[in-house]
Amino acid sequence: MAESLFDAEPLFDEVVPLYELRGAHVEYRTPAGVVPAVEDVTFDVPTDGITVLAGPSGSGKSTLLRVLGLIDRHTAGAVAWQGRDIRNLSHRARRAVRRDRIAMVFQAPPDNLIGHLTVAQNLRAAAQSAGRPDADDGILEWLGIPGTGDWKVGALSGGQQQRLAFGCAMARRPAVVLADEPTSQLDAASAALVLDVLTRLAGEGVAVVAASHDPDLVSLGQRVVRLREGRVEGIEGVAA
Amino acid sequence: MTVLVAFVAALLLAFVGAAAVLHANAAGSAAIGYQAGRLCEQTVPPVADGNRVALDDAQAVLRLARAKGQANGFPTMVGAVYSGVRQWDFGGRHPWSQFGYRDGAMDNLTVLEGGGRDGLWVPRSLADIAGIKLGDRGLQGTLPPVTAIYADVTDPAPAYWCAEERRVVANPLAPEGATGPMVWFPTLESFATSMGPVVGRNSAAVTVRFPVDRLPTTVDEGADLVGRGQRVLDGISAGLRAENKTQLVTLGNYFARPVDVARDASDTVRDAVLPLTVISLLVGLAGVGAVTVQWAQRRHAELRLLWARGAGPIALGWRAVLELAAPLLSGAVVGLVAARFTISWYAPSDQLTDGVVPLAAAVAGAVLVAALVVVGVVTASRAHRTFQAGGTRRAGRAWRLVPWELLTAGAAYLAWARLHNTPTKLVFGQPLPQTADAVGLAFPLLVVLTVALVTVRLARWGLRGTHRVSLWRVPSVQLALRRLAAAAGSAVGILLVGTLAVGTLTVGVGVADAQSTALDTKSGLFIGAESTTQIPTDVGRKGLPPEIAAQATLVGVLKTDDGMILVVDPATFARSAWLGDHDPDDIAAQLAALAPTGGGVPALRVGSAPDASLRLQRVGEVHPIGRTATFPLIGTGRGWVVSRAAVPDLREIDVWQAWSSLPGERLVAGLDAAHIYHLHLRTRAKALDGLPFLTVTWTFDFVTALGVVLAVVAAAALVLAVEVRRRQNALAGALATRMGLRQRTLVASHLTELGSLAGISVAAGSAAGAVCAAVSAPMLDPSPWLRPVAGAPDLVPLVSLTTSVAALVVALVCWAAVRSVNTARVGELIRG
Repeated sequence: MAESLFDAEPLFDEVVPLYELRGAHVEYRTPAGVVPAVEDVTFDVPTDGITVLAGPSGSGKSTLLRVLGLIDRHTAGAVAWQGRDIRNLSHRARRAVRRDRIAMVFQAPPDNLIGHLTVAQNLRAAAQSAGRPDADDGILEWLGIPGTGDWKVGALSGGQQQRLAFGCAMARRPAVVLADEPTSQLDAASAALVLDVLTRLAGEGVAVVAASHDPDLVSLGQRVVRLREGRVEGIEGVAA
Repeated sequence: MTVLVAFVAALLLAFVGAAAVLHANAAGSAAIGYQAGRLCEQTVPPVADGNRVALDDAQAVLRLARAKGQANGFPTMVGAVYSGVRQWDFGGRHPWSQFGYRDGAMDNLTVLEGGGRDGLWVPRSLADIAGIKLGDRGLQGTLPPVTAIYADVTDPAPAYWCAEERRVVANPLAPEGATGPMVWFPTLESFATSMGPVVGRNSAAVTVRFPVDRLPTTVDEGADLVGRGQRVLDGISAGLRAENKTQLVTLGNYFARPVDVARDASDTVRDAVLPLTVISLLVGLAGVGAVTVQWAQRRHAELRLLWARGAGPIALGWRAVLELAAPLLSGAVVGLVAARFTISWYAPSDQLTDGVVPLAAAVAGAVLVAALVVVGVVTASRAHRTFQAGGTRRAGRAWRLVPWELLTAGAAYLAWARLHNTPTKLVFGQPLPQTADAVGLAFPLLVVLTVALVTVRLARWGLRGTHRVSLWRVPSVQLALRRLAAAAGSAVGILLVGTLAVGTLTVGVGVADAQSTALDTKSGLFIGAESTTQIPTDVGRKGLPPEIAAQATLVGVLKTDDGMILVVDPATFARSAWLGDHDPDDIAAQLAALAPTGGGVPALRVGSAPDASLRLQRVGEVHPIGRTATFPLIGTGRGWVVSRAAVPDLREIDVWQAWSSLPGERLVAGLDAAHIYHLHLRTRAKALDGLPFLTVTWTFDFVTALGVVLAVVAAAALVLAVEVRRRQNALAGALATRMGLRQRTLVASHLTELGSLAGISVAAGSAAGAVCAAVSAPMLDPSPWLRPVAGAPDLVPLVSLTTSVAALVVALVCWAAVRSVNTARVGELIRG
């Protein structure tokens, strides 16, 4: 399992949160030079509840989410996953964590699904990608899209696709779901249904980290980390 | 689209790989067929010949050979015994003649009178000379009666007689006693009974032939025939050695050398096409890589999703392999089948050795595996770069820094040096060499490759510099430049393949044509006409009968220490001789000027003949009145051409020949009909052993085929490059036209973009190919000492065709691009 891949001792002594960020920096190399995307960010993500990374475009929300998803690497500071520093993790170890413990939901609904598979096949593929045989029975009812198992995902609306994306995330039984602007491409009604799924997901004991500037989603967050120009502007809620 | 392009790429890859194997093998088969066709059919299998042997020994040789032949897969044997040529007695007359028996002889003669198979068969010429009639008995009545008069066997002898032509075809032009008409006995026993007492000790001759139903058509069949033949000969030799009579016969396995030559030809063609085949396969694999990149772009979201779920680069590579394996496999199968069943279109023979098709299938399979590896590796490395390594592309930059063009230029120089310094091999009695050099043959291809790489390098530098160029005064050019620079990878890829395609096509057609023309010209000059044959001197002096004169001309040939003298008939020469590039009217006018003037013999001097009057043996005082660099039969050698009307005494001319523009069969048929003896028929088609030329031609025919394949790839790449960016070009074009860009400018920009790629490819490829063909054609000439040397081919028609096809492709792709702009629904594109 993922834990066995960590050789280092826990960095911090207190009750181990899911993520711990201490002065984290992320930089990108561009043709115009090195551009800082996130600077000196410090906060924790607990093992349950909804944490929202809020802020305007370009504030570093998505960058932080990719770091938390073990997709991008931070360039300075410390980031710990369940108490272990992730900076020097091998590619293989990072993939193992992503496979077994993390689920990501991207901004565009079609990007979260395999277009040529049916709804049920998507759920099964998501479950099997985490080493589980299949999604739980009744998950479509839980998502509010019963009877669509044999549908191609293209037949679903954008909101239904995004709810199915969270269903796929659920099918993987992750420790955390990372969602990047999950409601930004949906109308208000569809967004509300997605938020409902998201709330119930958190109620199942899964930690949820969402990057968003949607006020409705921000209001759902038990912890809200407000970002501006790559820096933490403020932290609200129990994590503060 | 991706699936279709993957299918086509695999098809072309498998086709090229399999076709290279099949083509090289077919070259060996063609070499076998060509050489077998030049030999007498009965001398392709093993032969045994004995002269001055006792009749008993001759019979023993026949028995031994028959047994050994049957034991080694030669069920049919044709044995023959002959008496010497003597003035045998026929009813008191003593014409020169000879007696013989040959298995099946009476089945292969044309009976004119009688036909009974229990007596002697006498040729018409002998019957006429000696007054022999049916029922007569020669040698004071000791011979069986004559039961048939048959038509003399004439030159060229039919297949059954070709191995015995020297004995069977009486040569009235030969010295007395050298040859004589053949009288045939019905059986070997009757020959032995009648001739045994009179042929004398050791004065009989014996020949053994093993005719086969089917001549070998492949190298393996040839090798099998030669192997079995050798066992027969070894058996005969061992049998004779046991009786200490090995000296009785000469054993020949004449096809052994052609089999070796055919193997060499096959190896040479294989080695020569190997570099371009490998390059073509690499280009094809690069195409598969491009298709994979396009697939990865289309599947980007799915790959990112799988990546986010923990899949690694290798797993994503397998994902690509699983999806593209089906079209690649289907394409490879179709390519292999196409290579097998279109072999007659691109290879010199459709006869293949057993086992070569499975080998071609294995090559196609290996190419398929390589393509699948490319798919997997490209996807995996792209996934690593995109998702894992933060988008760095150091490897690509490193590849571009390697000076490939210098490497290929160095290889081209080495190939040129090899071509320049390697002496061609000569075989005694054969004016042409037997081998072509594979490394030398690669020279033009390496030059074309170098030019293509230089073009690509310059284009890459140029495109990199275009961001500093502002040509908004000519918006179509500016738009075209920006589009090219934005897709520089595709642009230089198309340039590389396009230049390679046009270059190889041009050099392939150019060199093949040059060699073919050179062989044609050399053969024509070597023989003098389409067909020639020697005729009696009295016919030469008196002239041909009118019915023959309409188709042929008389040429007297006199070889002197000063050079060759041709005595021609100015009135008929130009229409019957092979004149090559010479204008028949010019030649006719030059020859007409050779009319006698009363003061010496006017002559046309040829080659290096001196421009001065001189006295030539048996012709007299010769006055040159004109010069030509080459002349039929004399070639580029030293000689004179005189009019028969100007020669004081035509009896001084040794040899007279009839030259005709007709095929040999029609020439001799006309002479036979006119009852004119003829001998030594020579035809332009068989004048020279053209195998060395053909080896070069076959090699470059395949180069041409590869050029066509590459041209298809280039055209497909052009279509693909536009198709890949169709969506963004359509959106950009649609927005630009709505902002005021004129339709004319839009069309002009696409024509400029696509036309510049096609134009540069055609210009660079044609120039490189034409120069290369002109430079290498003389160097690749296998017989430069036999003039004229292969020269620069006329490539204007080919270049015109290439340009037209390129223009058509550009027009079609441009139409598709503009149409996608005009039919674009901007709202959907923006939202999409």
